[in-house]
Amino acid sequence: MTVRTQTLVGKRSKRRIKVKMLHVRYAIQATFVAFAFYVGLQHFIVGGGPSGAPSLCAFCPFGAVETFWSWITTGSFLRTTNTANLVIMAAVLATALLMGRAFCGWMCPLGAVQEWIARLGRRLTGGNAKKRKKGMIPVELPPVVDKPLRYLKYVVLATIFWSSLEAVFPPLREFCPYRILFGFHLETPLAISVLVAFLAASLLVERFWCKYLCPLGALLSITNKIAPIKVATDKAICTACGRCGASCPMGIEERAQNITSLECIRCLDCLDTCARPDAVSVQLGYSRSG
Amino acid sequence: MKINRFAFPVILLAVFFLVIAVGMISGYWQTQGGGRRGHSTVPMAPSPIVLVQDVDANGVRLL
Repeated sequence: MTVRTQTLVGKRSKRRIKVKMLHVRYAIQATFVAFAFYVGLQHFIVGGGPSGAPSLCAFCPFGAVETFWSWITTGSFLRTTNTANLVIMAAVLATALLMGRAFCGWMCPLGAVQEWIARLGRRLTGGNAKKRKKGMIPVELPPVVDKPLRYLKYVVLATIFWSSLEAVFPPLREFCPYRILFGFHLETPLAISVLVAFLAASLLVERFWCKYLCPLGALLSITNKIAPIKVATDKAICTACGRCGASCPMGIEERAQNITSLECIRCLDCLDTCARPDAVSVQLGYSRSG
Repeated sequence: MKINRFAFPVILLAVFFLVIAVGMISGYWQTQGGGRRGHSTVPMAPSPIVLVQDVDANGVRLL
């Protein structure tokens, strides 16, 4: 079985170069991961304060949600956050209103690390992505556990927003795997526990944090229903073979029939996996839906 | 309307960095830690949202 790819043909040489969306996505994700590590390392070495380097929290879009109430009611921000958080959140919301949760699939450093860990786990336990052979890990939780757990991220979002009403620091700060991992904040037993749990969970369940706990993902998921650029399925061509669902990092069942799922992170892995030309495509507008 | 799959990341990155560029040009790009009033060492940009209780009878902002 082969994986369908986009083929580019050069004008001079007739050599064919196969480019998969997955490779493009990994390159973009790697850039954002490198930037997050750079910011975290710089802050770790130089320190904060007016003459120091900004903390990683200053570049977190969710920091804007945490500091929002303080900003509109007092005009000041929670500690470690500032106007850059609002700008980044505006940028993320702009992409989300146009393309749904594409930020999660293409730009989020935490999502990228989770995917890479899951991929490593798959390889180490005999899996092979090219041959669509699953390894022992990552596993898919049974629906009876998976479905209720998916709502947990909305509870996390509501809890953090409620906590932010009287907070001085961003409420998620001490538990945030993004800050702990990329900012090297391993000072407390709690931080070490969070990091170990995050890495172990990512190894066992692909994108565990995104599926069940991420409050930013919960917020952005609403835009999947209204975003005009989306992945659409042509029912006349689709044979409902289930390949796209099997390759989906978010574990969306019947991916082809579920194009506006709140869980879709627009990673476009389903386009790479689909064996039928044009059965799955990127569409602008609402006319061709699955 | 079908669009090329490779246009997807281009549009995504373009929109993302365009908004950030607009934010930077507007002077809203401050990354040094904020803080509740009285604790911060960095001047704060005022909120564009003005609540009724934040202005006096003449419409002058109190904050």
